[in-house]
Amino acid sequence: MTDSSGVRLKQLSSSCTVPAARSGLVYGRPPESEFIKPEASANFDAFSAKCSALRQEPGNKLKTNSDAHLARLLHESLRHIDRRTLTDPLLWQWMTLALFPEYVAWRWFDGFSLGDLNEREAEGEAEGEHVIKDSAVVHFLGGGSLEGVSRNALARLFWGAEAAWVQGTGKDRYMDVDTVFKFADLFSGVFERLVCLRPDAAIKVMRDIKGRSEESRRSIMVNLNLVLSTTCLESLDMNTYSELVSELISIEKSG
Amino acid sequence: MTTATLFPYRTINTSKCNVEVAHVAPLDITVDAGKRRLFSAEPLNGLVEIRYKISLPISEVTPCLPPGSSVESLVNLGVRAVSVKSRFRQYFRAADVVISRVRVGDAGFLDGQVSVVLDCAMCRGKVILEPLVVLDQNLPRGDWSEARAFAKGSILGAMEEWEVIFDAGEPPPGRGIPIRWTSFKVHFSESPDRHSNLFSIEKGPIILLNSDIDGLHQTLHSLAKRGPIARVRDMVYHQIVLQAWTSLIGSTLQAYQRAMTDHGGSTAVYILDELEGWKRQVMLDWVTYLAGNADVPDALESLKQSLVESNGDLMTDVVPSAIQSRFKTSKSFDGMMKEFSDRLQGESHD
Repeated sequence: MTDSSGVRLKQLSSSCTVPAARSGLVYGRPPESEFIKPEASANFDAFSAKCSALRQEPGNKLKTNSDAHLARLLHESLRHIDRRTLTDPLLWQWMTLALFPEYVAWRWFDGFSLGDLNEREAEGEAEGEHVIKDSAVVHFLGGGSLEGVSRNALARLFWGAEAAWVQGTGKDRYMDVDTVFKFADLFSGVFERLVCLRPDAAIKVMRDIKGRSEESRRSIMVNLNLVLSTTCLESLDMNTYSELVSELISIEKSG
Repeated sequence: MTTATLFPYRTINTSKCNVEVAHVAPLDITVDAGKRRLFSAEPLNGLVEIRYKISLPISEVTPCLPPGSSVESLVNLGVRAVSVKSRFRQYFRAADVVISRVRVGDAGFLDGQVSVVLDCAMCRGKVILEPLVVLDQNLPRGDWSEARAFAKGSILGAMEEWEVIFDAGEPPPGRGIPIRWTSFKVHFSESPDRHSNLFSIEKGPIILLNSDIDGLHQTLHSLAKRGPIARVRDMVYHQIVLQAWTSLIGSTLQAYQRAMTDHGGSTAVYILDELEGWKRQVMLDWVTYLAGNADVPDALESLKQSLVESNGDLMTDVVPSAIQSRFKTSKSFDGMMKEFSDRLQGESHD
């Protein structure tokens, strides 16, 4: 069985062999590409246009700052799709590899185009080394785990926006998207932990600690994770959870 | 490697709790290395309901709470459902928690029923269900040496997890054999000699368990992690596992030998492809254990060679040994021995 993180980008992007990458041929069951459904169509025009525009502009800071805006656009394109489709890791791998590989390359691979990456990878392979590290391939191939979703270049945008999205008809239903994507450490600190599976709890802690230093944010998240290992987060109402977060912040403040 | 949570306060000894999973239709149950899984061979639609009946001795709960507390108002019973693939976590709380007493003056039991309803349109992959006893109110912080939980939401006790598998279809029999409960008096109405059997293997393969045997369902479905019920359950499971796998592997090896005769000179992998679906999967899953080689193609070649030499050791020696070492059946024997020695010691003290 091939470990998906060990699969080379070149092979994948040239043929979009997502199923082969995940073949898991253990029991000879080919994975089903059930995301290709007639009712699961989406219009990515706005997202696509923004991605193209961003790629023309220079500057590294732009990439991080673009996350929240792109997340909104991607979420708007996909939020009508049923949840089972959206939780299919193949959908996101297919999107990164087949639909928006140039965006992934621009956002996560030093601004190289996909062609550049393949060229560099071919050169490296001839010398017996892989230019594209396994740890970076996850931005294309991130799967269904917490880490996989939070590192897949497109799944992270969608699920970040989904957590922040407020149902209803309010003015700005994406009010907290900026908070979600403001700091990379905060995003991974929350979205690579089980707390992210309860969106209101994830957003609450992000809102409350975003103004603190990186070190402080990390420390609070570590402590929150520790407390939640013996606490049933699912049974807590928001007031009790808010008190818990406030207490952890004050403990961190008092050093 | 397994991880364990260290609680900084007293927790309930859940081996004394009784948890029954009362209704799992339309799901089937499979047991893989002691872990209970619910699955459906057919795609699931609509809602899936799993009903839990939880009963715990109040004498086990009171040491975790301040003296004189009213147990039923301070704790709640429920089942936590967590699914990373489906991206949700949810708590299903018992509608009513009541105290039942067998005799007047008994501390009694805290009883609750929980209905876990999962919407198939929202679920993907594995959903882990964990029955919990949770502190329902904030309590004054006592002295640390009392080691009592005080924060609302603290987990006072956790019972055995079950997994509900969506999208899996029927798990390959190489990884776990599906089981189904049925009345043998009805199923084998024309064979009275089978009415008192514990189990039978049907085509598929699937293990039929006899629902007519008193206490068998309750014992095998007990979620106890420790204690006498857990030991008896593990012993019975291992008895079934040993007999069932011996039969399935035997049937697979016979089929493989026949395929070898039909395709003389072919490679071991080629012959494998000639086997019927489930037999191929059993072979793939067991060949490394049978041949003592971690590499599947090498193990297949080595097993093929053993079958050619056919010295008869495979079924009488290798297969039982492989099953016992894989499932660590000696552990359940050790558990039963401990149970007997505990009882004998208790009797000698009396």
